Parts: sequence; structure tokens; C-alpha cells
Amino acid sequence: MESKFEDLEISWRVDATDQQMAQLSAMTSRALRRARLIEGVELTVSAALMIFIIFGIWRKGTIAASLFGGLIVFTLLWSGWSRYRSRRVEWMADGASREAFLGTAVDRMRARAQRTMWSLVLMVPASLLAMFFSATLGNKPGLATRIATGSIGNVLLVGGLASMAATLAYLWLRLKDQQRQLHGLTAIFDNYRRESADDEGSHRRE
Amino acid sequence: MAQNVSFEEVLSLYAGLISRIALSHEADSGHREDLKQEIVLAVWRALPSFRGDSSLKTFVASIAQKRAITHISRQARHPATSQVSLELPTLGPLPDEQAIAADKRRRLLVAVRSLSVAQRDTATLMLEGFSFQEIADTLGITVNAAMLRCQRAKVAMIERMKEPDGKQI
Repeated sequence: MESKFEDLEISWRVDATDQQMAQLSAMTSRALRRARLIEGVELTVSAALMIFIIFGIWRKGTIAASLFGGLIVFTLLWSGWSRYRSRRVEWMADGASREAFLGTAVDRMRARAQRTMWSLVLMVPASLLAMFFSATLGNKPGLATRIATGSIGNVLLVGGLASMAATLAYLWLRLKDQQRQLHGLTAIFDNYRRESADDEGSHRRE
Repeated sequence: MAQNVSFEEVLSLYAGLISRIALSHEADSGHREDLKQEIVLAVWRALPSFRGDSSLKTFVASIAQKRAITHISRQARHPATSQVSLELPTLGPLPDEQAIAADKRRRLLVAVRSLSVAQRDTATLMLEGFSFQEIADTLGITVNAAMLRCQRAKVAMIERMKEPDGKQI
């Protein structure tokens, strides 16, 4: 079996052709350019936001504004840092087992699917609640009042409802996609756990 | 121990490894290109965190396989097709020898893809010539467990190779 396997190794490890290497190199350059551009834009937007907030605090000059601005700046910095870290360490290439990696991936995907589910469930009541508060608490007639009294154009009404329906459809599709991914990750996780159980079983038999 | 390894160096050393890991997980050539791109980006992003606790080869292989796992879970709606073209790079011998070698590679690829994900990861690392220690480091398991997994993967792969036309599972 050993010699047969050595043959397979030789078949498998045929060097890539120059053309394939050139394709991979070109593709890598494109992907890196795009990734660097996205990171650059994110950095620029964050920096611009922070400068804007600091300028606002300086103009206002009150303690409340300083505290509120400081909180926003802190949130921006924390969010940027955690994104930076998660992009670099999410692959757990530091010797963590596949089960640990897959367990984390399954938990993350489950949390994402739950967030989408909540968005889907809460979107319509939250929109209706917003309309209600807008109508009852505002100085001017709110959206609901204007719809009720017919002072708003039908086109605007249809547009609003259409955008709400589109958002619901998008959230529904995203939820289905996340559930499918969750199902796939769970199946692979179970597969790895079975392998570990087989390892344990073999150890015991020995 | 921080390691000063340039990304270009990593790519030139392990482009073949990355391509073959993508090949073992994705049958569709278009999706495979996407997967390679995702792996390359993941390696680029993870490289600053490489501390040299393991070898660079196991670091790259570990990221590539983990990226491939998340890719196939995302591609569940596009199952891998059973069509296998001669996607492994070809050598340059005489036409008859080339045909035999190509057929062998095709059957090998079908056999690898028909394994479960866990066995496929182990089999790929074995075919790449990783030692038991390197396989253990890549998969995050003990050397003994790596030896056992290699044995099981080897038997499963050779069994699949014997099947007439390498059924995909």
C-alpha cells in the first residue's frame, strides 16, 4: 500500500505550469488591490468621522457634548480595532483544532442568523411604531396621520410599502442563506467530531 | 517569535499547495477561482499574526483548508459536479504516457473529492507530503491522532480509487 500511495503523491504534486502561476499571480494582485482599497476607504471614513466629531465637541464646548463625542470616538476605535483583529486572527492558524474553529464558526453563523431573524420579525412592528410616534408626539402631523388624511401622494405610499416589502424579501433570502450555511458548517463540524471519536476509539482499542 | 516573511515569498513558495487544496474542495472551475482568491486574501490578512510557532507551510495549509471549509458551506446550494476535467497540471511526456498519467490523476481527484471533509483534509496533507507532526500541527491534533487519521484516510482513498468511475458522495 505504501508504494501505491507514493505513486499517488507523485501524481498529486505535479508542479503548476507557468501559465497557471501567472494567472494566480495576476488574480492575487487584483484581489489585494481591491482589499487594500476597501481598507483604505474604511480608514479614511473613520478618520473623517473622528475629525468631524472632535471639531463638533470643540465648537460646542460643553461637558455633555464631550462625553457623548468621546463615547462615539471610543466606539469607532473599538469597532475598527476589533474588525482589524478578527480579520487577522479569525482563521485560528495558531494550532487550534478544527473542532474549535468549526465550533466558533457555527456559533458565529447561528448568532448572525438569529440577528437576521430578529430584524425580520421586528421590522414591520418597529416601522408601525415609528409611524405611530411620529403621528402622536410630533408637532406636525406624522406619516400615519398624513396617510390617513390622504395628504400624502399615493406614489409615495406605494414606494414606502414597496421598499419595506423589498427589505423583508432581502432579509428573508439572507436568513435562508445563513441557515443553509449553518446547516453546512454543522454537518462538517459533526464530521470532524466523528473523526475525533474514531481517534479516541482506536486509542482505546490499542 | 515574530517572523519576517513577505507575502510575495509565501505566494511563490505555496501557490501550488493553495491551488491543490482549492482543487480538492471545489469542482467548479469558476467557484474554484473565487476560492483561491479568498484563500490568498485570508493568508495575506493572517500573515502579520504568524509567530513562527509552527512552520509556514502548516500555517498556510491550515488557513487554506479552513477557508475552503467555509467556502463549501456557503456553496451548499451549488453542489460539486461529478465532472472532473484534467485540472491537475500536466507533465510533458509522450502522448500515451500522458493519457495514462492524466487518467490516474483524474481518478485520484475524484477519489479525494468523494471523501468526507475531515478525511479529505487529512488525505490532501498526506498527498502534499506533510509529515505526521506537520499534519498534527495543521489539524490541531496530537501526532498519534494524526497517524490514525492518515491510516483511515489512506485506506478510504485507495478503496475509492478501486471503484470503476469514482462515485462522488
